[in-house]
Amino acid sequence: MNLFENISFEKLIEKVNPPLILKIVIIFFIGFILIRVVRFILKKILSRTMNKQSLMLVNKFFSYAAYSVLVIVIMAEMGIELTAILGAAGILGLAIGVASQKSLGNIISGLFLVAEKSFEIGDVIRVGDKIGVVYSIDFLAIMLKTFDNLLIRIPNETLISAEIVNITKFPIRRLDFSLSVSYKDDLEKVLDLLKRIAFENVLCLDEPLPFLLLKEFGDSGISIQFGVWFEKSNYVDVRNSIILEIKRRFDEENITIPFPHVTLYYGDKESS
Amino acid sequence: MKNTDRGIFIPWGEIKFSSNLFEQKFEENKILRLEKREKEVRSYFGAEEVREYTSRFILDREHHLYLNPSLPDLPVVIKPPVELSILPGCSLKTYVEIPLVLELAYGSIKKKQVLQEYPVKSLSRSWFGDPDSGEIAYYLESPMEFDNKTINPDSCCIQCPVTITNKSSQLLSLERMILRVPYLTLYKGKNSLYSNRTRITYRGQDQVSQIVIQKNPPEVNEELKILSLPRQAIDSGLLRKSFYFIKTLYEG
Repeated sequence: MNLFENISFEKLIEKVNPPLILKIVIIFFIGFILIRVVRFILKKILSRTMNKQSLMLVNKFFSYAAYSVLVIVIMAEMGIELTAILGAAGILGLAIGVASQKSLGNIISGLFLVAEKSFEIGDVIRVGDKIGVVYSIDFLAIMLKTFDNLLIRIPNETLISAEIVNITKFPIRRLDFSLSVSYKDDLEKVLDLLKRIAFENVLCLDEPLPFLLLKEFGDSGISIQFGVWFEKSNYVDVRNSIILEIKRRFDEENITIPFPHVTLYYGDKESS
Repeated sequence: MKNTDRGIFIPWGEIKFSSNLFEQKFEENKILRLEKREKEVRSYFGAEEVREYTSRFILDREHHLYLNPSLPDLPVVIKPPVELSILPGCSLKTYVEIPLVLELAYGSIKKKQVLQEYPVKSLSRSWFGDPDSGEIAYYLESPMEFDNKTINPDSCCIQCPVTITNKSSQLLSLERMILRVPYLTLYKGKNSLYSNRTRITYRGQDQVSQIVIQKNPPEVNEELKILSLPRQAIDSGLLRKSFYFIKTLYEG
């Protein structure tokens, strides 16, 4: 089959005339505006029921499909035989599909991720050692914007098999501090002081109550786990203010935070 | 605290500057200070001895500033200091004292825009419900006595009447309760500031409580005048979980 028999350049030039150009331009502009309008309406309607990433995917899918239809309509108007082109496109599609198995895997993984709803645009997630805000969810990969303003692309196929921690899924979080106090300190006084630190901090929630756990008898002191609940947006402020306050109040109350000491003994000449 | 510093005697409405200055004292040595300078107003709310301003508002001569009383912007979780239980079929008619929020607004009397809010007493924040599906609220301890006779008359608080009815067959142990103050209207009486009554009907531990916010002013022995409308509109009744029972959040 000679694919290009029906779309030879000479035949095309012969057919082209000013009314046809005008017609094509009109079709293009009407089609373009129509696609934009439908996309806008679709976005308005679906935004009430869909989350951001599903909306983005639907929007992209619609755009690709609609522009493809527009190109086909314009080509038909130009008198190009479409059957042959579509047949060729099918073969080409198959060839591309075979050649890009990875990409297909990414697309399918992306669909699973969207259906799973484990995160959405704007969430802070941790994948391996990477932490960032989900910037966009595309067909092949997601984009993470890190806190030092870098953009990381993670393929969907990697994500589907990786452990993802969604840090901002729930509105409140608990922040745990591990600290230890020396054996000579009054533990009840320490626990009471930590409770007061949590209650007096305006960024910590009164309820759920702060979590206090005497963990173990350590090498140089008794380990304590101290957890405070806070609204997810206050992470940095809560962390800084609680550490500052623990240090200040422990100093005031003469509570010792033990740290490893290294004592060096110089060899005695006489004994050696 | 002087009598004129009580919520009831604060000159609500359009702010009248005297020698370009407006000062209003509150509990705990706090002050609201506004100073007019040509085309701007500077404001400060906090400790009386501080002479600095924290905000500036650029305005024209036709702009009028208003000082309005308001209820907090979030619901308030109420916790009685001693264990309180309501037997099946019984009701508790009580008053909860909610600290006043000052609202600095501009515009005309009919169309006001809020510039800033100053809570007279800062309330700490709390969480009401499960950690994954609850809601943020302020936290307040209230004795929840039968009447408002024990209420400190000098305080800058709003008396919020609440009726809790236990219509379940179980004992209602009132560990904590949420009062949805953004739905309440504020009234001024001769001796105190009031809100309309909230009626909560408890039907069981896992059932939603019926909350009805009365549209009429509360039944008190004094004439009441509306001071401010609710922050959020409400039609008739609310069906929400109003009581929360402590579940252990820590498993190990």
